[in-house]
Amino acid sequence: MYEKVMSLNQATDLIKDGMLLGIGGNGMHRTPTIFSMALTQKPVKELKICGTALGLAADILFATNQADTAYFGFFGLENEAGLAPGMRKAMEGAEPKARAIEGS
Amino acid sequence: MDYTKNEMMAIATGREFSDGELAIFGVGLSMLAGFFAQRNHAPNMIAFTEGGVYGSTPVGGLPWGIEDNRISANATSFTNAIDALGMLVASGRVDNAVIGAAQIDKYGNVNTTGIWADGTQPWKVGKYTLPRVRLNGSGGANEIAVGAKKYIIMAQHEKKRFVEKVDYISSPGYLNGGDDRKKYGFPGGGPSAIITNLGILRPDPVTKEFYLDAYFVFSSVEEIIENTGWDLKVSPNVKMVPEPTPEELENLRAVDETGSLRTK
Repeated sequence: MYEKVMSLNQATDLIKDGMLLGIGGNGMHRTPTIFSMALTQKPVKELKICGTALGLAADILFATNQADTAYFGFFGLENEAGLAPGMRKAMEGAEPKARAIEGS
Repeated sequence: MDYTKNEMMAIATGREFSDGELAIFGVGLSMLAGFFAQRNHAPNMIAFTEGGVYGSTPVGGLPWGIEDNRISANATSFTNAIDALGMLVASGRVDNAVIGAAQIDKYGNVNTTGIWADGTQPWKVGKYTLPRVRLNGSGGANEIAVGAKKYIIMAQHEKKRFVEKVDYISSPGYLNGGDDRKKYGFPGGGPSAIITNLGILRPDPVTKEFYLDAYFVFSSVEEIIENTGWDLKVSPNVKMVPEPTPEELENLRAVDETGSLRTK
């Protein structure tokens, strides 16, 4: 049987510069935060991120400027945690480092 | 009676729901208002979230997200956003809903996309530029605004939020008023009320401009006009919303187990 289980290190090695990465979960829930944290330890850059309701795991990659585009219907930390700070840091100001493609 | 402004707002919103309705809620106040209604006077209401959690009631307090364990624990089915928004909402089956708003205008258009510096709004300059403040985006609110038979908009009543024209339309209300929704072929009926921490606004049947219909015992017509950024018309029959009954408060607090509305 094909073995799908691998270490986090091996899994993050599969991600290459410029890839479009679908991130699951919803806002703060069931979102692969540990995977994103591991990815911040790799030199990968210019990632495009998509998801219906992006949250913490996506926000981390914008905070480190490893992602430059987000495709989403919602991007936030939900409820009282409010807006996603990493995404805002990357997308606001005079020289934004990332762009948002918002759909619904 | 001892209750908070947000509790009044949630109860006033809950009263807009009837038994047997199919309804969709987002998180926070809107979900609390909806499940209060279900517990208080609409036991056969079926509620679902845009994440596809269908037919559940919250367990252990108000859910933090639209798919967290408090809402999904006793769901009759747990599908996905395509089913919830693409099938149920888009097909026009949803009777009633609640959405929130960061910015709202006199025709009930809602902006949750971004805040632009004055004079640089996309509709003013004719193209989309990056906003000064990047917000969450519409999530499922756009589909609800387009497809639900009717829906309620809940917002904190502040002048900076209640503007003549929103910077960007994330979720359309009545667009430029009149029969604009029909012109664009929207299946849903549009917002039936804007319910805030100060009172209730409703759309004029013809122009679709929102006017002041009712205030709460702790607010006043003057206070609401002062906190609205457009020239708010007042109904000649403007009235006070009845205060919560002890039974309503008991049911609301039974849903809001963690007291999230008591502290604000």
